[in-house]
Amino acid sequence: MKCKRCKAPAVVALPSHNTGFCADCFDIFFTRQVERGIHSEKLFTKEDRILIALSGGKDSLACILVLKRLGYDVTGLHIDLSIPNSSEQARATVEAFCQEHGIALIVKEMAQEGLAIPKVKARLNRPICSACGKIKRYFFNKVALDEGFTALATGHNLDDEIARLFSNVLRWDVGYLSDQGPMLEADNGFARKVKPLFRLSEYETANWSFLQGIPYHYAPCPYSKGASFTSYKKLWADLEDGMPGRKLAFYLGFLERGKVPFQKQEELTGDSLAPCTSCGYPTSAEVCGVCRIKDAVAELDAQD
Amino acid sequence: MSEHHAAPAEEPSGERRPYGVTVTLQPSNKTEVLPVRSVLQLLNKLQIRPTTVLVIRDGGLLTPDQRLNHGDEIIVRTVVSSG
Repeated sequence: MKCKRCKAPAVVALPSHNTGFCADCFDIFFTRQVERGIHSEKLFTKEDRILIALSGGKDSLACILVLKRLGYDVTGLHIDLSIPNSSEQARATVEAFCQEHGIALIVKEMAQEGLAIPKVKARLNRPICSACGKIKRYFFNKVALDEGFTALATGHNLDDEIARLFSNVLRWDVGYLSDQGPMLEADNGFARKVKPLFRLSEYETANWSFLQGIPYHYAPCPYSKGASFTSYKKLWADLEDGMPGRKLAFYLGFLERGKVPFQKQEELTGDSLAPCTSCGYPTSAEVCGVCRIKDAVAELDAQD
Repeated sequence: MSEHHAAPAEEPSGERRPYGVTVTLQPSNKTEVLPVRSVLQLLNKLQIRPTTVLVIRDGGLLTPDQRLNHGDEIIVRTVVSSG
Protein backbone atom coordinates (compact mmCIF):
# COMPACT_ATOMS: atom_id res chain seq x y z
CA MET A 1 0.00 0.00 0.00
CA LYS A 2 1.27 3.47 -0.91
CA CYS A 3 0.74 6.81 0.81
CA LYS A 4 -2.07 8.75 -0.84
CA ARG A 5 -0.15 12.03 -0.69
CA CYS A 6 3.51 11.22 -1.44
CA LYS A 7 3.39 7.60 -2.75
CA ALA A 8 5.97 6.38 -0.20
CA PRO A 9 5.12 3.03 1.52
CA ALA A 10 2.09 3.53 3.78
CA VAL A 11 2.28 2.64 7.46
CA VAL A 12 -1.34 3.42 8.35
CA ALA A 13 -4.33 2.09 6.37
CA LEU A 14 -7.61 4.00 6.84
CA PRO A 15 -10.58 2.09 5.41
CA SER A 16 -12.99 4.81 6.64
CA HIS A 17 -11.27 7.29 4.31
CA ASN A 18 -10.46 4.61 1.71
CA THR A 19 -6.79 5.54 1.90
CA GLY A 20 -3.38 5.06 3.55
CA PHE A 21 -0.55 7.34 4.66
CA CYS A 22 3.17 7.27 5.43
CA ALA A 23 4.19 8.55 8.89
CA ASP A 24 4.80 12.19 7.86
CA CYS A 25 1.62 12.50 5.77
CA PHE A 26 -0.46 10.81 8.48
CA ASP A 27 0.78 13.47 10.91
CA ILE A 28 -0.49 16.14 8.48
CA PHE A 29 -3.83 14.32 8.10
CA PHE A 30 -4.26 13.93 11.87
CA THR A 31 -3.33 17.53 12.68
CA ARG A 32 -5.67 18.88 9.99
CA GLN A 33 -8.55 16.79 11.33
CA VAL A 34 -7.98 18.30 14.80
CA GLU A 35 -7.80 21.85 13.39
CA ARG A 36 -10.94 21.26 11.31
CA GLY A 37 -12.81 20.08 14.40
CA ILE A 38 -11.65 23.07 16.49
CA HIS A 39 -12.66 25.60 13.83
CA SER A 40 -15.93 23.98 12.66
CA GLU A 41 -17.31 23.70 16.20
CA LYS A 42 -15.61 26.89 17.49
CA LEU A 43 -14.11 24.95 20.40
CA PHE A 44 -11.54 27.57 21.52
CA THR A 45 -8.98 30.07 20.26
CA LYS A 46 -5.32 30.84 20.91
CA GLU A 47 -6.49 33.30 23.61
CA ASP A 48 -8.03 30.54 25.74
CA ARG A 49 -6.27 28.90 28.70
CA ILE A 50 -7.00 25.21 28.18
CA LEU A 51 -6.86 22.62 30.95
CA ILE A 52 -6.55 19.08 29.54
CA ALA A 53 -7.47 16.03 31.59
CA LEU A 54 -4.62 13.50 31.27
CA SER A 55 -5.31 9.89 32.21
CA GLY A 56 -2.02 8.62 30.78
CA GLY A 57 -3.77 6.90 27.88
CA LYS A 58 -3.05 7.56 24.23
CA ASP A 59 -5.99 9.87 23.61
CA SER A 60 -5.36 12.44 26.32
CA LEU A 61 -1.59 12.54 25.69
CA ALA A 62 -2.15 12.86 21.94
CA CYS A 63 -4.67 15.62 22.60
CA ILE A 64 -2.33 17.78 24.66
CA LEU A 65 0.65 17.20 22.34
CA VAL A 66 -1.18 18.10 19.14
CA LEU A 67 -2.68 21.23 20.74
CA LYS A 68 0.70 22.32 22.10
CA ARG A 69 2.26 21.89 18.65
CA LEU A 70 -0.58 23.96 17.17
CA GLY A 71 0.37 26.78 19.56
CA TYR A 72 -2.49 26.61 22.08
CA ASP A 73 -2.02 27.52 25.77
CA VAL A 74 -2.31 24.11 27.46
CA THR A 75 -1.91 22.73 30.99
CA GLY A 76 -2.37 19.09 31.99
CA LEU A 77 -4.47 17.80 34.88
CA HIS A 78 -3.98 14.26 36.20
CA ILE A 79 -6.34 12.72 38.73
CA ASP A 80 -4.49 10.11 40.81
CA LEU A 81 -7.20 7.56 41.64
CA SER A 82 -5.06 5.46 44.05
CA ILE A 83 -5.99 2.16 42.34
CA PRO A 84 -3.36 -0.52 43.13
CA ASN A 85 -1.27 -1.77 40.16
CA SER A 86 -2.67 0.94 37.92
CA SER A 87 -2.67 4.53 39.22
CA GLU A 88 1.02 4.64 40.04
CA GLN A 89 2.04 3.64 36.49
CA ALA A 90 -0.50 6.00 34.90
CA ARG A 91 0.75 8.94 36.98
CA ALA A 92 4.40 8.15 36.21
CA THR A 93 3.58 8.06 32.48
CA VAL A 94 1.86 11.46 32.64
CA GLU A 95 4.58 13.08 34.73
CA ALA A 96 7.39 11.83 32.46
CA PHE A 97 5.48 12.88 29.34
CA CYS A 98 4.80 16.41 30.60
CA GLN A 99 8.39 16.83 31.71
CA GLU A 100 9.69 15.66 28.33
CA HIS A 101 7.45 18.07 26.41
CA GLY A 102 7.69 21.04 28.79
CA ILE A 103 3.98 20.94 29.64
CA ALA A 104 2.70 22.35 32.96
CA LEU A 105 0.93 19.68 35.01
CA ILE A 106 -1.46 19.74 37.96
CA VAL A 107 -1.90 16.46 39.89
CA LYS A 108 -4.92 15.96 42.13
CA GLU A 109 -4.71 13.00 44.53
CA MET A 110 -8.03 11.38 45.37
CA ALA A 111 -6.59 9.80 48.54
CA GLN A 112 -6.00 13.37 49.83
CA GLU A 113 -9.64 14.22 49.07
CA GLY A 114 -10.98 11.20 50.99
CA LEU A 115 -11.98 9.59 47.69
CA ALA A 116 -9.41 6.85 46.97
CA ILE A 117 -11.26 4.70 44.42
CA PRO A 118 -10.69 1.32 46.20
CA LYS A 119 -12.41 2.79 49.28
CA VAL A 120 -15.24 4.17 47.15
CA LYS A 121 -15.61 0.74 45.54
CA ALA A 122 -15.76 -0.95 48.94
CA ARG A 123 -18.48 1.43 50.09
CA LEU A 124 -20.77 1.52 47.04
CA ASN A 125 -23.37 -1.10 46.14
CA ARG A 126 -23.27 -0.17 42.43
CA PRO A 127 -20.68 -0.39 39.61
CA ILE A 128 -17.60 1.68 40.38
CA CYS A 129 -17.13 3.06 36.83
CA SER A 130 -20.01 5.55 37.02
CA ALA A 131 -18.91 6.81 40.47
CA CYS A 132 -15.28 7.07 39.35
CA GLY A 133 -16.36 9.00 36.25
CA LYS A 134 -18.48 11.32 38.39
CA ILE A 135 -15.57 12.00 40.75
CA LYS A 136 -13.15 12.70 37.87
CA ARG A 137 -15.59 15.08 36.13
CA TYR A 138 -16.15 16.87 39.44
CA PHE A 139 -12.44 17.54 39.93
CA PHE A 140 -11.83 18.41 36.26
CA ASN A 141 -14.49 21.08 36.62
CA LYS A 142 -13.38 22.26 40.05
CA VAL A 143 -9.72 22.68 39.07
CA ALA A 144 -10.68 24.42 35.79
CA LEU A 145 -12.86 26.96 37.63
CA ASP A 146 -10.61 27.39 40.69
CA GLU A 147 -7.51 27.97 38.53
CA GLY A 148 -9.18 30.29 36.00
CA PHE A 149 -9.01 28.12 32.87
CA THR A 150 -11.39 29.12 30.06
CA ALA A 151 -11.79 25.64 28.56
CA LEU A 152 -11.62 22.10 29.89
CA ALA A 153 -10.55 19.56 27.27
CA THR A 154 -10.68 15.78 27.30
CA GLY A 155 -9.16 13.31 24.86
CA HIS A 156 -12.50 11.72 23.91
CA ASN A 157 -12.28 10.41 20.36
CA LEU A 158 -14.93 9.55 17.79
CA ASP A 159 -15.36 6.01 19.16
CA ASP A 160 -15.91 7.32 22.70
CA GLU A 161 -18.47 9.78 21.39
CA ILE A 162 -20.24 7.15 19.28
CA ALA A 163 -20.38 4.69 22.20
CA ARG A 164 -21.84 7.37 24.43
CA LEU A 165 -24.31 8.60 21.82
CA PHE A 166 -25.41 5.02 21.12
CA SER A 167 -25.89 4.34 24.82
CA ASN A 168 -27.91 7.55 25.22
CA VAL A 169 -30.06 6.67 22.20
CA LEU A 170 -30.73 3.15 23.51
CA ARG A 171 -32.13 4.75 26.68
CA TRP A 172 -33.62 7.80 24.84
CA ASP A 173 -31.98 9.87 27.55
CA VAL A 174 -33.17 13.36 26.66
CA GLY A 175 -30.93 15.09 29.20
CA TYR A 176 -27.72 13.48 27.93
CA LEU A 177 -28.74 13.74 24.26
CA SER A 178 -29.41 17.45 24.71
CA ASP A 179 -25.84 18.27 25.70
CA GLN A 180 -23.74 15.63 23.93
CA GLY A 181 -21.24 17.05 21.48
CA PRO A 182 -17.68 18.32 21.12
CA MET A 183 -18.44 21.60 22.90
CA LEU A 184 -20.54 22.44 25.93
CA GLU A 185 -20.55 26.13 26.83
CA ALA A 186 -19.68 27.29 30.35
CA ASP A 187 -22.88 27.55 32.34
CA ASN A 188 -24.05 27.93 35.90
CA GLY A 189 -21.01 26.54 37.75
CA PHE A 190 -19.69 24.41 34.88
CA ALA A 191 -16.52 25.17 32.91
CA ARG A 192 -16.67 25.10 29.08
CA LYS A 193 -15.99 21.51 28.01
CA VAL A 194 -14.38 20.62 24.68
CA LYS A 195 -13.34 17.43 22.86
CA PRO A 196 -10.76 18.37 20.21
CA LEU A 197 -10.26 14.77 18.96
CA PHE A 198 -13.94 14.16 18.16
CA ARG A 199 -13.31 13.70 14.42
CA LEU A 200 -10.61 11.04 14.95
CA SER A 201 -11.16 7.37 15.69
CA GLU A 202 -9.45 5.47 18.47
CA TYR A 203 -7.46 3.63 15.77
CA GLU A 204 -6.27 6.89 14.18
CA THR A 205 -5.28 8.33 17.57
CA ALA A 206 -3.43 5.13 18.52
CA ASN A 207 -1.49 5.17 15.25
CA TRP A 208 -0.58 8.85 15.66
CA SER A 209 0.49 8.32 19.29
CA PHE A 210 2.67 5.39 18.28
CA LEU A 211 4.28 7.32 15.40
CA GLN A 212 4.99 10.32 17.66
CA GLY A 213 6.69 8.00 20.16
CA ILE A 214 4.21 8.73 22.94
CA PRO A 215 4.86 6.06 25.61
CA TYR A 216 1.24 5.80 26.68
CA HIS A 217 -0.22 3.72 29.50
CA TYR A 218 -2.26 1.05 27.65
CA ALA A 219 -3.06 -1.42 30.43
CA PRO A 220 -6.82 -1.39 31.08
CA CYS A 221 -8.19 -0.24 34.42
CA PRO A 222 -8.45 -3.36 36.64
CA TYR A 223 -11.96 -2.25 37.69
CA SER A 224 -13.42 -1.62 34.22
CA LYS A 225 -13.99 -5.23 33.07
CA GLY A 226 -17.29 -5.60 31.25
CA ALA A 227 -17.94 -1.85 30.91
CA SER A 228 -20.88 -1.41 28.56
CA PHE A 229 -19.17 1.25 26.42
CA THR A 230 -16.51 -1.34 25.51
CA SER A 231 -19.26 -3.65 24.21
CA TYR A 232 -20.76 -0.83 22.16
CA LYS A 233 -17.35 -0.06 20.67
CA LYS A 234 -17.02 -3.67 19.51
CA LEU A 235 -20.47 -3.55 17.98
CA TRP A 236 -19.64 -0.33 16.13
CA ALA A 237 -16.30 -1.76 14.96
CA ASP A 238 -18.29 -4.51 13.21
CA LEU A 239 -20.64 -1.95 11.67
CA GLU A 240 -17.79 0.30 10.52
CA ASP A 241 -16.01 -2.67 9.00
CA GLY A 242 -19.01 -3.34 6.75
CA MET A 243 -19.78 0.32 6.14
CA PRO A 244 -16.57 2.41 6.33
CA GLY A 245 -17.23 6.02 7.34
CA ARG A 246 -20.54 5.25 9.06
CA LYS A 247 -19.32 6.30 12.54
CA LEU A 248 -18.36 9.84 11.57
CA ALA A 249 -21.51 10.25 9.47
CA PHE A 250 -23.72 9.08 12.38
CA TYR A 251 -22.06 11.49 14.81
CA LEU A 252 -21.94 14.54 12.52
CA GLY A 253 -25.55 13.84 11.48
CA PHE A 254 -26.60 13.89 15.13
CA LEU A 255 -24.85 17.22 15.73
CA GLU A 256 -26.41 18.75 12.64
CA ARG A 257 -29.94 17.35 12.74
CA GLY A 258 -30.53 15.27 15.85
CA LYS A 259 -29.42 17.36 18.80
CA VAL A 260 -31.63 20.46 18.65
CA PRO A 261 -34.98 18.71 19.30
CA PHE A 262 -33.50 17.13 22.44
CA GLN A 263 -32.22 20.52 23.61
CA LYS A 264 -35.71 21.99 23.18
CA GLN A 265 -37.28 19.09 25.05
CA GLU A 266 -34.75 19.36 27.88
CA GLU A 267 -35.48 23.08 28.28
CA LEU A 268 -39.12 22.15 28.90
CA THR A 269 -38.77 19.07 31.09
CA GLY A 270 -35.16 18.92 32.40
CA ASP A 271 -34.13 19.15 36.04
CA SER A 272 -33.08 22.58 37.24
CA LEU A 273 -29.69 22.76 38.94
CA ALA A 274 -28.73 24.55 42.14
CA PRO A 275 -25.41 24.75 44.03
CA CYS A 276 -24.64 21.79 46.33
CA THR A 277 -25.22 22.94 49.92
CA SER A 278 -21.91 21.35 50.93
CA CYS A 279 -19.47 22.31 48.13
CA GLY A 280 -21.32 24.57 45.69
CA TYR A 281 -21.10 22.20 42.67
CA PRO A 282 -24.21 22.33 40.46
CA THR A 283 -26.64 19.53 41.34
CA SER A 284 -30.29 18.59 40.98
CA ALA A 285 -30.26 17.29 44.59
CA GLU A 286 -29.54 19.23 47.75
CA VAL A 287 -26.12 17.61 48.21
CA CYS A 288 -24.16 16.64 45.05
CA GLY A 289 -23.23 13.04 44.20
CA VAL A 290 -19.54 13.47 45.00
CA CYS A 291 -20.20 14.92 48.45
CA ARG A 292 -22.56 12.00 49.14
CA ILE A 293 -19.85 9.52 48.10
CA LYS A 294 -17.29 11.35 50.24
CA ASP A 295 -19.62 11.17 53.25
CA ALA A 296 -20.22 7.45 52.66
CA VAL A 297 -16.44 6.74 52.51
CA ALA A 298 -15.83 8.82 55.67
CA GLU A 299 -18.53 6.79 57.43
CA LEU A 300 -16.72 3.55 56.44
CA ASP A 301 -13.40 4.97 57.67
CA ALA A 302 -15.01 5.87 61.01
CA GLN A 303 -16.18 2.25 61.44
CA ASP A 304 -12.63 0.87 60.87
CA MET B 1 9.51 -3.93 4.54
CA SER B 2 12.21 -6.16 5.96
CA GLU B 3 13.91 -8.68 3.66
CA HIS B 4 13.68 -11.78 5.83
CA HIS B 5 13.76 -15.14 4.10
CA ALA B 6 10.46 -16.97 4.22
CA ALA B 7 12.04 -20.45 4.26
CA PRO B 8 12.12 -22.39 7.52
CA ALA B 9 15.29 -21.70 9.52
CA GLU B 10 17.90 -24.35 10.12
CA GLU B 11 18.77 -25.16 13.72
CA PRO B 12 22.44 -25.74 14.74
CA SER B 13 21.58 -29.45 14.89
CA GLY B 14 20.66 -29.34 11.19
CA GLU B 15 16.93 -29.81 11.85
CA ARG B 16 14.51 -27.39 10.20
CA ARG B 17 12.03 -25.57 12.43
CA PRO B 18 8.50 -25.34 11.04
CA TYR B 19 7.53 -21.96 9.55
CA GLY B 20 6.18 -19.62 12.18
CA VAL B 21 5.62 -16.00 13.21
CA THR B 22 5.76 -15.19 16.94
CA VAL B 23 2.85 -13.01 17.94
CA THR B 24 2.49 -11.16 21.25
CA LEU B 25 -0.94 -9.81 22.07
CA GLN B 26 -1.11 -6.62 24.16
CA PRO B 27 -2.22 -5.77 26.75
CA SER B 28 -2.60 -9.45 27.80
CA ASN B 29 1.02 -10.26 26.78
CA LYS B 30 -0.02 -13.73 25.58
CA THR B 31 2.36 -15.14 22.99
CA GLU B 32 1.79 -17.74 20.27
CA VAL B 33 3.50 -18.94 17.10
CA LEU B 34 1.31 -18.90 13.99
CA PRO B 35 1.88 -20.18 10.42
CA VAL B 36 0.76 -16.94 8.71
CA ARG B 37 2.32 -15.12 5.75
CA SER B 38 0.67 -11.69 5.83
CA VAL B 39 -0.73 -9.24 8.38
CA LEU B 40 -4.23 -9.80 7.03
CA GLN B 41 -3.86 -13.58 7.42
CA LEU B 42 -2.62 -13.05 10.95
CA LEU B 43 -5.58 -10.86 11.89
CA ASN B 44 -8.05 -13.25 10.26
CA LYS B 45 -6.50 -16.13 12.19
CA LEU B 46 -6.89 -14.17 15.42
CA GLN B 47 -10.36 -12.97 14.35
CA ILE B 48 -9.41 -9.33 14.91
CA ARG B 49 -10.64 -6.34 12.87
CA PRO B 50 -7.68 -4.48 11.28
CA THR B 51 -8.89 -1.12 12.63
CA THR B 52 -8.95 -2.27 16.25
CA VAL B 53 -5.23 -3.02 16.68
CA LEU B 54 -1.75 -1.75 15.90
CA VAL B 55 0.46 -4.37 14.25
CA ILE B 56 4.10 -3.71 15.10
CA ARG B 57 7.33 -5.29 13.77
CA ASP B 58 10.83 -4.07 14.68
CA GLY B 59 9.37 -0.88 16.17
CA GLY B 60 7.42 0.02 13.00
CA LEU B 61 3.75 -0.21 12.00
CA LEU B 62 2.48 -2.68 9.40
CA THR B 63 -0.54 -2.29 7.11
CA PRO B 64 -2.75 -5.37 6.48
CA ASP B 65 -1.32 -6.01 3.01
CA GLN B 66 2.27 -6.50 4.25
CA ARG B 67 4.02 -9.87 4.13
CA LEU B 68 5.28 -11.64 7.21
CA ASN B 69 8.33 -13.88 7.27
CA HIS B 70 9.54 -16.85 9.22
CA GLY B 71 10.94 -15.78 12.57
CA ASP B 72 9.21 -12.38 12.61
CA GLU B 73 8.28 -11.13 16.05
CA ILE B 74 5.00 -9.25 15.87
CA ILE B 75 3.14 -7.25 18.50
CA VAL B 76 -0.64 -6.93 18.11
CA ARG B 77 -1.75 -4.14 20.44
CA THR B 78 -5.40 -3.37 20.95
CA VAL B 79 -6.37 0.30 20.49
CA VAL B 80 -9.70 0.05 22.31
CA SER B 81 -9.51 1.63 25.73
CA SER B 82 -11.81 0.22 28.38
CA GLY B 83 -14.49 2.05 30.25
